[in-house]
Amino acid sequence: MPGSDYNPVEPMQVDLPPEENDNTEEETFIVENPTLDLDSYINNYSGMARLLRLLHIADHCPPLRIEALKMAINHVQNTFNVPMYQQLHKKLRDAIATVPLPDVTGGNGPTAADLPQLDLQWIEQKSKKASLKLEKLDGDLKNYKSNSIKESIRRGHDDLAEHYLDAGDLTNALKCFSRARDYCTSAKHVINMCLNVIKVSIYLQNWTHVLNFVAKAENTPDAMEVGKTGSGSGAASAKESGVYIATKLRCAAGLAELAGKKYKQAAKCFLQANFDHCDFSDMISPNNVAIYGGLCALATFDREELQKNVISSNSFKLFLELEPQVRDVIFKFYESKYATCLRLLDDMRDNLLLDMYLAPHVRTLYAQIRSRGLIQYFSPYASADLNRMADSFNTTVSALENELMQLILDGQIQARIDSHNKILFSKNVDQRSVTFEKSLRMGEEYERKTKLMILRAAMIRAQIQVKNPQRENQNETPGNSNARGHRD
Amino acid sequence: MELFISAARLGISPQGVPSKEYLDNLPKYVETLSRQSWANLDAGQNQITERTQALAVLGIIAAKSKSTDLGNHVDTFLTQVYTFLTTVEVPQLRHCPSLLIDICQNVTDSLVRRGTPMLGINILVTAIRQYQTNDRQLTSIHPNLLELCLAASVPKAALPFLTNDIDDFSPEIKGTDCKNLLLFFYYGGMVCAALKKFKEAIYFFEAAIQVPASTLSHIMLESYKKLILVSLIHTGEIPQSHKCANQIVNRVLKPNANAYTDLAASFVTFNPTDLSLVINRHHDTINRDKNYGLVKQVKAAQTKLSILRLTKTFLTLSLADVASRVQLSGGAQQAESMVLSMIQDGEIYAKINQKDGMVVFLDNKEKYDGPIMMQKIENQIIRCIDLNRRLESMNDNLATNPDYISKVLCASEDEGISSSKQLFSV
Repeated sequence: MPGSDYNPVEPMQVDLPPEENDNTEEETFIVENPTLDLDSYINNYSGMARLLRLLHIADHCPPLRIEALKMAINHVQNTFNVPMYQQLHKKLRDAIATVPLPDVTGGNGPTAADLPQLDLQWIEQKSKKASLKLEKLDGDLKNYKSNSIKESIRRGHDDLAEHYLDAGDLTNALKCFSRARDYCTSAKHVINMCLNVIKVSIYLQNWTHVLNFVAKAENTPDAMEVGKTGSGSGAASAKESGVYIATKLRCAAGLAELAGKKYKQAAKCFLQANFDHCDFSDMISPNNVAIYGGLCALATFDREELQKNVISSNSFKLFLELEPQVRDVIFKFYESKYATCLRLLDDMRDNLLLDMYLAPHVRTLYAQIRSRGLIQYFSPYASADLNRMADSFNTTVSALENELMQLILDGQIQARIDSHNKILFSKNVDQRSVTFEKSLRMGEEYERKTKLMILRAAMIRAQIQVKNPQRENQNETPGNSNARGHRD
Repeated sequence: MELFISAARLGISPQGVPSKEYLDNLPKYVETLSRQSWANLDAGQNQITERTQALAVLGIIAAKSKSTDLGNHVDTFLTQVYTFLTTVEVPQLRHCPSLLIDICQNVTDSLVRRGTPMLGINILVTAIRQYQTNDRQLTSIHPNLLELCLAASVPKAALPFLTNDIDDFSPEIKGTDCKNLLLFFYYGGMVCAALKKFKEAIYFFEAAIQVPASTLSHIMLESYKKLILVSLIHTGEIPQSHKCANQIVNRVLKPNANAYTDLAASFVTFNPTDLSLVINRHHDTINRDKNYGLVKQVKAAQTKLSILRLTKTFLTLSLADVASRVQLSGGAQQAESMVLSMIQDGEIYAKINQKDGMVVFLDNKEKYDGPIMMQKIENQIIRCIDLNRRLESMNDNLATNPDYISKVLCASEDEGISSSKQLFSV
C-alpha cells in the first residue's frame, strides 16, 4: 500500500523525514484506482469539513487530485478563507504541472486554458472585507462588554468565532467559542457552546478536547431533558432536540475514540447514533457513521455482540442501508463466509483510504477483522486443515501460518500448528500445570517485590537519599569513574 | 610520632575506651602522620604493644594507607592490615569506623591501580565480617569488596555478601549521601550478571533505581541501562517501572537511556535484522558504556526466545522453517544445533527427527507431582513465610513506635471524629 515511488509535490510533505514510519504512515499511502464518485461524496459535507476532506483526497489520490482541488477552490471562494485559497491554488498549479498526460484525469484533462489564474482581485477584496467584518464584530463585542449584557456578549463571541472559522483561523475560532463559555446563562447555551467547541476541535483534530467537551455537554442534564420533551413537539425544533444533540455528541465522541484507536468505544458511540437526527454535514455524514461504526464493530465485537448490537439494531440498520457494501461485509462475516467478506473489504479499501478520519486506521481495522475471522473460523474445530482454511481466507498456507502464529502467541487462539501435515490442532490446556506455573511465578514475584519493599523501607528509615545535584556531582564523579573501569 | 603515642596513652583508658576528645582529634593526627616517612610509621606501630591501644594502631595504619609511599610497601602493608584485623578486638574497631573505611577505600584504590586487585579481597572480607554487626548489615566496605572482585574477575568471592537481604545499614551510611549504597547495588548487579544469575542481577539493578531520590544519580542511570539489558536477557520483556520508584527518576531515566529503550523496543519485535540495525546505530554509546558484552548476550537471547515462541505455536516444524522463521544465517544446520543445545539445557522440550528434518515440539514434561518439585515449592513457601514474618515484625515495630503513634494521633485529631477509631486500628 505505501507507495515508495510516490514523490510528494506538496510543500508540507517534502519536509518530512522519510525514515519515521510511525508518524508519516498516514501521509505515505497513495490511492491509484478510486471508485469514488467525488461529486456525490463531497455533497454530503459542508463548510470546513468539506474542505478538509477534499484536501485529504487531493493529497492521497493523484487521479482525483485536480478535480478535488478545483472543487475545494470553488468552495473556498464562498468564504473568507484567503490563505487556504492561496494554498489550494498553489497545489493545483503544482498538480497540473506534474500530470504528464491530459487524459489521466479521466477524459477532460487540463489544457493550457484550464490553468487557473490566481484571482488577485478576489484575494484583495476578500481580505479587505474580512478585516472590515472582523473590526465590526470586534467593535460590537466591546460595545456589548461595556454594557455587560451577558447574552449579547455570548452572541458577540459566537459571531466572532464564526467569522474566524469562515476565514480558516481555527485556533482563534476555538478561542472565541471557548470564551463564550463564561457568558452562558442557560443549559441550552452551554450545550451550544460545547457543540461549537467540539466542531472546531474536530477540525483541529484535538481529540482530547473533543472528548472533554462531549462529556461536559452530556453532563448538562437539564438541556438533554428539555431537548427530549422538545423533540416530540414538532419538526421545527428538530435541530434543537435532545436526540439530535445526543446523536451529534455520540458521533463526535466516536470520531475521537476512533482517532485514539479505541475502536470498541468508537463502535459503541456510533451505534448509539439516531438515523433520523443524523444531519450535521459540517461534521460527518450518515454514510460515515455507517462505515466507521460498522468496521469498528466488526473489528472488536464478538459474534453475539455483533448480532445483538449491529445486525438486529433497528436504528443502525438504517445507516447500513446507506452503505450496502458495509452491510454485506457485516452479514457475510456473520454468516462465516469469510472469503467473500474479505474480498468485499478489499474492494472497499481504496475508498476508505480516501476518508480522512478512517485512513490511518484502515490497516489496523482490517487486520483486526481478519484475526477475528480466523478466531471465529477455528472456534468450533478440534483440528482444522490449513489448506482449506487458507482457501477461505484468500491467502497462502505459509502466510496463514504466520498469522496464526501471531494469534497463538497473543493467546487469542488456543492451538498448535502441525507444520508437517499442515493441520491446526486445538490445544488442550492442562489447567493443573498452568496453575502451578502461574502460582510459582507469583510466588517469585512476591518474593522479589517484598524484598525490594523491605529494602526500601530500611533505606527510608536510615534516611538515605540521593541528594541535591551539586553535592551529588562531587560525590558521584569519582565513584562513577571507578565504575567505568571494569564492566563486562 | 611520640606525641601521637602519648596522646593515645592519655586518650584511651586501660579498658580500651577512648575519650570523646581523642576520637575527635584522631583524624587530624592521622592526617599529620600520613606525611611522615614509612620507617617512622613502622617504628611507631611497633612501639604500641598493648591490645587496648588498637585504635592507635588503626590510626597508624590509616596514615600508612594515605601515605604517598604506600606503593613501595604494599605487600608488607597488606600483611600488617590482615594481622591487625584478625587480632583486633571488634568493639575497638567500631569506635572510629571512618578510619577503617578510609583504609579499605585506599587499599582498594591502590590495588586496582596496580592491577593486583586479587590481593585485597581477603582483607576486605575480614574487615566486613569484623565490622558489621549482623549478616544483613550493609557497610561502606561492601562496594569496595565488590569492586575488587569484579576487577579481579573472581565474582564468586563476593557472592556470600550478596545473598543476604540487606535490611540494616552501618552507622556511617545512614543519613549520608548514598553513593556507596548505589555502588553496592550496581556492582552487586554486575557480579550477578557476570555469574549469569540474572534474576538476582535484576533485583540489584532494580534496587539501585529505587533508592529514594530527589535527583538522579549517574549510577542509577547506568543501573537502569543494565537493568534493561539484563531483563531482556532473562525474561525477554522490558522491565516495568516500579510504582515505588520516584517520579523524577522515572521521568529522567528513560530519555537518558535512549539507546537502550530503542534496543528493548526492537527486541520485542523478534526481528534479528532490526535488532542488529539498532545495535549498530547505537554502537558508540554501547561501547562507551562498556555494555557490549551484555548486548551480545541480548542478541543471543532473542534467538533463543524466538525458538521458544515456536514451541508454543507449532507441533511440528521442519528445521529449515525454524531457521527461516528465526532468521538464522546458518540455515537448517545452525537451527539443528541451536535446538539441540536448547533441548539439552532443558529450555525447550522437543525431539529432532533427522530422517525428514522435522522438529517435534512436546509439552513441558513437568507434571508438578514429583518430590523434587514438591521440595522446590516448599522452599519457596518457606521463604515467603519468612518474608511475611519480617514484614509483620516491621509493622509491629512501626505500630509501637512512639513517634508514629503521636503523629497518627495528631492527624486523627485534626479529623476530629475518627480519632478514637483510628487509635484502635493502630
